[in-house]
Amino acid sequence: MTLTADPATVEQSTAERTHRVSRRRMRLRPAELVSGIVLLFLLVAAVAPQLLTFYDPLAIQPSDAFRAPSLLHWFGTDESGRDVYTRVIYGARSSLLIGVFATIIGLGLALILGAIAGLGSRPVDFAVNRLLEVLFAFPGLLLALLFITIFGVGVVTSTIAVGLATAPGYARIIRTQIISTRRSGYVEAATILGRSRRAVFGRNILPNVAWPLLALATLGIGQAIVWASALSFLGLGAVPPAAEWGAMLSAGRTYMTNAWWLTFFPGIFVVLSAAAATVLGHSIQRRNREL
Amino acid sequence: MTNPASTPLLDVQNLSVGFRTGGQTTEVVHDVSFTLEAGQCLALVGESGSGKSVTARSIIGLAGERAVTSADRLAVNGSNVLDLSPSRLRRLRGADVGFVLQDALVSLDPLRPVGREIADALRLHSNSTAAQRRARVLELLDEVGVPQPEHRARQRSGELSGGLRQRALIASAIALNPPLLIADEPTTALDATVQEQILKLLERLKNDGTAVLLISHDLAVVNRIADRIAVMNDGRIVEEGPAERILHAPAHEYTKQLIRAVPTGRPRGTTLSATPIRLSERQLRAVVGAETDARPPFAGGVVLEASNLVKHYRNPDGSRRLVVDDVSFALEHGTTLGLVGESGSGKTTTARLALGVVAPEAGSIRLLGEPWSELAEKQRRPNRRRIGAIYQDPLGSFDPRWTVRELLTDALTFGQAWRGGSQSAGVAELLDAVGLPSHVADRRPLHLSGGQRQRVAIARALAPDPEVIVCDEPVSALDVSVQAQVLDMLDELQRVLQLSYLFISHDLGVVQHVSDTVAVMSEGRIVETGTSEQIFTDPQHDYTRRLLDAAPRLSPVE
Repeated sequence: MTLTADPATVEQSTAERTHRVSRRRMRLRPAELVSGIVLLFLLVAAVAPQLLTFYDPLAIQPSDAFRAPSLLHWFGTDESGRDVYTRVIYGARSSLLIGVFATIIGLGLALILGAIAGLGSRPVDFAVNRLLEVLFAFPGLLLALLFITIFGVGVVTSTIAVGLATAPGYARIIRTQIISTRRSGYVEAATILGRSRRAVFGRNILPNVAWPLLALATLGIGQAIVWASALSFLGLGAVPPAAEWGAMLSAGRTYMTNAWWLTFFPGIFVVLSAAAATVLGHSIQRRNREL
Repeated sequence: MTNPASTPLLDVQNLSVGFRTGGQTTEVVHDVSFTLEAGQCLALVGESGSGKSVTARSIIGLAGERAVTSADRLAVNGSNVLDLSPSRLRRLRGADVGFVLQDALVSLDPLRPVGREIADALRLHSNSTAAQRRARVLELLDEVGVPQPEHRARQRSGELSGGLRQRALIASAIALNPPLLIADEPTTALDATVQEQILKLLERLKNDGTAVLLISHDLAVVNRIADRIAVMNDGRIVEEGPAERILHAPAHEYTKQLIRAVPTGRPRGTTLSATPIRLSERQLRAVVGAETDARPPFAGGVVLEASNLVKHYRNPDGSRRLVVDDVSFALEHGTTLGLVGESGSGKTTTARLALGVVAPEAGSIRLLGEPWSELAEKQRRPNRRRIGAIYQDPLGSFDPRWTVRELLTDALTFGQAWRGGSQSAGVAELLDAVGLPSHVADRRPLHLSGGQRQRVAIARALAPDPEVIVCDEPVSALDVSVQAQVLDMLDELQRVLQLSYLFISHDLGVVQHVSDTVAVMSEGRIVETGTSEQIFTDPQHDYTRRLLDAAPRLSPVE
């Protein structure tokens, strides 16, 4: 701002800048659009798979075994003559459910640990931190495997296992976020205005911790889908003949040289869903930053 | 070096610089011309956005990739910068032109010892052995006044204090004895006494024959060493001439405004800003409500009293560091107590003690004659509205998710609790009171200018109708004209609303202008207290004298 500048023009240029910033924030990037479409498709597949396919995912038709992709069977058929496209579509539900629930479990647990550490006294923070360090010392997959070994194979246990394995990472992030918000100038300003601790927590700390978490959760779903598929692939999650991407990959692996479509299409869907969730998570993060 | 009488060392004729954005070029520097000769100092003075830094960077071809530079002549030491190949340009930088930036912390590689950083300049531009370079580095560090050069050369920039870091940067800039030194805001982030050392160093270099192009927003700094001054505004040089003439008999209206905005030596109550934000008493009354009777009758006297405060902080290694040491002061109703000192002297901790956000280990604070610091937070809360705060960085004190309206509503709803809600001032009236248009309400502070942000902070502080406001470096981050507006506004608010300010600043000029009484702080202790006049005309303590001597001023003290 200059001394001689007419206040009106100064105001105007500030207004323009604000406008430009908000327009840039609003504009949808192509990658975001594609991710949105992919996720919408998966959501429809998860909620109402019969809208997207006429076949039954479990119906066996031995005479149609190992058909290559065609107009009749878009993604071909498997060793029992089941339609691969239909199985992939029906598989979306369990994959998304595992992804969402594993993330909820992971974040929920992390929120508890992170909040205890971030809001608690110094010794409490110390104790939680050491616990997290112990958990960090094990690779996440190993932690998940350990859990499954104890509680048995299955979709539910593998979901919980993935959730548990991701919790320490989230807990660290949440703790840091809470601490930096607590020490921020605006929390001090609220205290000086006379707000009670509870009001400051509800009005300032919680929203500023929660919104970045939304982005984190979206990123986490993509990651959890990959993990759950990996566990199923190892035969520790969903078990064949269930239509689940990881289980399909595992079953199709035997015929990989002759029938590539058995592994290719479920694999592509794992990648697509994880990538779409990641892009969306990053875009939420970006919007948060530019707020 | 060519004969300075025939060709000037630096010759800039009609320099224009624009930046490409999208398809168009926006010109930010228009037809700037000046010359500089050996042993002279030319100062480019202007406020942020005036184009002074872009001008300086263009001289060494560093205005940026998107910059479009044109000039009738842009010559350093006889060679035309615009015609030079990139490799010749690199030779020019370092060998012919030394460049010192404001923030030495980002200019020096944090992972390398400063000695190596300085040696780099020598290695790139001369054929010397490692041993020769090492000797020269020590010599340079000694020359710029870095004590224990052998020890310091091995330290990284993060381990050095601001002053030492800036000196190390100057050492690297002058390593090859360049005839021209460009210093862009070289002392802006530094304390007065450190600033004085850097200015002395620049002055010595100038006297030894180096041409110095000094970029600064601070007229007082410029006054100290510049022979000639060019005042820039909106990308143009509006006035250029001998320093003496520009500072004492400015011809251009902008220069006059700039000089008038400097608070140093201007008595209390004088208006600094050329375009002050006029506040009507009616507006202000509306803000605090008609219920002057709702205010508990305060008969005057001391509103904020600190006695023998002590506070330690814990170092990372676990040892304790004394930051506030036996501090006592008294703030009288309707007056301003200026707390002045250099960085690390404990000013901000004192402010936080006064605000009751940190508890003193010993001593106590009384607010409006009642206990304050020894209360539990719950008991303190009902009286919180009586003391407000304004910070150097208003942005950090605003919840990033809130618009101005939400911020002010938040502050107001607290005020309503005691106002009874009937005559609560609206957000619009608060904005009005600090001279902001009502449409600012729906913006986020991030999208406001520094001056506007600080006015929002003032509006928020006013919302609960406080008696005392703690101002912690409230104008340090602002341009001098915006600073003038904010200081004028604080002054007017005080007069109308009978506010009392605890005003903290490192800037002696600002403190002198706003304060009735002044406390000088050094290393956690208040070394001297007195009326503003006593402190500034007849300082008793050594430290106060040193501080006053170090402060650059516009006109010599009588």
